[in-house]
Amino acid sequence: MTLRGIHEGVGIALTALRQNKIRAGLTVLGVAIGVLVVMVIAAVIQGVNDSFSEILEAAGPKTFFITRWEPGVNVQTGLEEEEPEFFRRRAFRAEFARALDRLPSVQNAYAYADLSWLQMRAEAGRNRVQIGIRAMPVAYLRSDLGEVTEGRWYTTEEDRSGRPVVVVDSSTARELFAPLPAVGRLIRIGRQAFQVIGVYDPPPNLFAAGGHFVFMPFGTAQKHIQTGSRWFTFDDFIEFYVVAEPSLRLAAAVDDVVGRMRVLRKLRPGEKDDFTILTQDLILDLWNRLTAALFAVMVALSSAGLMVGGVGVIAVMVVAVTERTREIGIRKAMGATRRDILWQFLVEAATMTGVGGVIGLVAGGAIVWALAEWTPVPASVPLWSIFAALLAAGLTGIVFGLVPALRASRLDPVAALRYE
Amino acid sequence: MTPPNDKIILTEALTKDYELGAETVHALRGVDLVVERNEYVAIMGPSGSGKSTLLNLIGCLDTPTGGRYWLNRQEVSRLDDAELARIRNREVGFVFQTFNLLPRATALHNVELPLIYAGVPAKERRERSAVALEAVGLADRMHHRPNELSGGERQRVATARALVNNPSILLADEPTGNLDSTTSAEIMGLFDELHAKGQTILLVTHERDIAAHAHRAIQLRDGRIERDERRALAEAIR
Ligand SMILES: Nc1ncnc2c1ncn2[C@@H]1O[C@H](COP(=O)(O)OP(=O)(O)O)[C@@H](O)[C@H]1O
Ligand SMILES: [Mg+2]
Repeated sequence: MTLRGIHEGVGIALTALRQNKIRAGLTVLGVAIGVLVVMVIAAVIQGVNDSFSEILEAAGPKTFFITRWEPGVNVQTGLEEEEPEFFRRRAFRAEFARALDRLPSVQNAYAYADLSWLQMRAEAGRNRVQIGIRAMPVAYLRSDLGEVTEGRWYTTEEDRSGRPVVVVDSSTARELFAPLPAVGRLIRIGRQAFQVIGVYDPPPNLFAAGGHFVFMPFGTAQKHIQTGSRWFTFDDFIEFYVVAEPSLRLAAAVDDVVGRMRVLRKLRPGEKDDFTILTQDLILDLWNRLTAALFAVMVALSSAGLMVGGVGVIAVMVVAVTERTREIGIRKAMGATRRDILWQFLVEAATMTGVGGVIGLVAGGAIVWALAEWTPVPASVPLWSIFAALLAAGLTGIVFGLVPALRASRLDPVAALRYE
Repeated sequence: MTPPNDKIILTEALTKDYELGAETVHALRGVDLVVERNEYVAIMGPSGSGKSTLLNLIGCLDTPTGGRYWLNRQEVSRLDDAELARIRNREVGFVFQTFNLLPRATALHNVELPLIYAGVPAKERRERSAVALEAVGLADRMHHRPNELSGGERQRVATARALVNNPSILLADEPTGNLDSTTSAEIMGLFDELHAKGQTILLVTHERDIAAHAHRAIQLRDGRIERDERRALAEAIR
C-alpha cells in the first residue's frame, strides 16, 4: 500500500476517534497509562541508577565495606523466635582498622561510624536542630561527591587528638547560624561544645546523606559522643571501609581481610563469619535485584493499561467495521485487495493507540520532569523507554485490531455493498 | 482457448447458485454471452431474473459457481481474490443505483479511489480525477461532499469514478433507478456520449426508454437469456 494509503488511514482513524468518543477515549486512556507507567518507572530507575553508580564510582571500584549488617533486604515481623543476627554479632573495635591496614593486599583501612539514624539534638544559642553524626576518617572527603564550601575539612592531627571540631552541612549551618557565617562558631551536642570549622555542601545525589548532619573526625566522636541510648553504644556503629591495593586483584584483598577479621574476632575454624563484606559487586547485585522487582511492577502496571487499551481497540474496531461495511464494499469494488483493507483498519487501530502512546509520553515526560525538579528522586528518561513505549502502543493497536481488521478484509464485496 | 481480440466479454454456460439454508437458489442457469468492443448493451428482465448477479460476475465482484468467463481474453473465472481486485481496478468501472460514494469524502477524493488502489502517485491522481470530473461537467463541484450534491450530480461523480482508470467495460446496475426522469435523461445522455467515444457499456434496467439508448437488449428470465436483440429491435422497443 502506498504512503498515501497510510496517511488516509490515519485521517480516517482520527475522524473515528472523534465519532466514538467514549470507547476511543477509554482506549486512548488505557494505552496512555500503560505508556506513562513505562516512562516514569524507567526514568526513575535510570535516574536512581545514575546516582547509584556515581556514588560507587566516587568511592572507587577497589573499595569495600565491612559491616555487622547482613546483606539482603530483610523484613522483620517482630514475631521471629530468634533475635536478628545483627544483635548477636558483637560490636567491632576501632583498632581492627589498624590491623587490617597492615595487610599487604590492603592500601588503606578506615573505621567510621554513621549515627545518622540516631538523631541527636544540636544547639547554638537559642537555635536547635536534630542532626545525624557522621564520624569519618580524614581521608573520607576524597571519596565523597560533596565539597567543603566554607572553612575547611579536619586534619589528621585533629583526628588523632580528638579535638572537638565539626564540619556542618549547609542546611544545618543555615538553620543554626543564618544570616551569620557558621565557621568559627560553637555548637553543643549533648554536654560537649564543638567548634564549626567548615561547611559542607552535599552533592545533588539521591544517596547522599540527607537532612541535617555534621561530620566529625572519627577520633573526636570516639572521645566525645555518647549515644544516650540503653541499647547502643558508640562502638555498635563502628564499621570499616577498605581500599584494596590497586595493583592486586580485589578478591585477594577480600580473602586477606576475611582471614584477618576472623582472627581479630577470635572465631574458631568452622564457625560462621560474624561480619559481612560488602563489595561493590555485591551491592550492585542487591541493587539489581531491587530494580528487577521494580521492573516487574512496571511491566504488570503497563500491561494492565495496554490490556484496557486493547479491549478498547477491539470494541472500537468491531463497531467501525460494522458501521463501514458498505464503505468496505465500495473500496473492494474500486479494486482494494484484502491486504489494502486489512492495512487500512490496522493503520486505524495503530493510530488510535499511537495517539494514546503520544499522550502517555507527554504526560509521563511531564511527571518525570516534575519528579526531577521538585523531589530528590533523580529521574531521566532513557531513550529506549520512548521507543519501547511507542512500540508497545502501536503493537497493542495492531495485535488487538487484527481480528476486526481481518474480518473487514474478508467481507464479500457484493454482500458488503448491499449492507444497510 | 483464447477468444478473439474484439470479444471483450465471453461467457460459457455461466451459472451462479446461492445456498439459502437447505435451499439452493439458481440465480443463473447457464449464460452464454459475447460482447464485443464498443457495444452498448441493456440487460433487462423481471425482478429476480438474475440481472444484478450477471453484472456482478461480469464485473468480477463475484465468482461463478460454474461455467467459464473471459474478460479481455483473460480467463477470470478462476482467479484468486487479489487478481480479481486487480481486474476490478483496471478493467471494470462500476456505476450503482445507490451511487455508493464515500459519504465523508469529497467528489475529488471519491474519484481518486480507484487510482489509489492502482498505486498512481498523488499528484497525477488528483490531476486525472479533476479531468474526469470536468468530463462529466462537475469541474465546479470537486470539493463538495456527496450530501452537498444532487442525485444526478452524485451519479455523475460515480460515473467519473468508474471511468477514471480507463476501464475496458463500464457496468451500470440501474443507474437511473434513484433519479427523476429529467436527471435520468441527463445521465443517459452522458452514457451515450461515452459510447460514442468508444466505451463499451453494459447497463441493467427494467425501463424500456432507458434500454432504448442501448444498441442491443438482452432479456433475462429465470437465470437464462430469453432474448438477445440487436439495434433493430432495440429501436422497435422505443
Ligand atoms: N446473496 C444472495 N443470497 C441468496 N439469494 C440471492 C442472493 N443474491 C441474489 N439472490 C437471488 O438470486 C436471484 C437473482 O437475483 P438478482 O440477480 O439480484 O436479480 P435482479 O437483479 O434481476 O433483480 C433472486 O432470486 C435473488 O433472490
Ligand atoms: Mg438487481
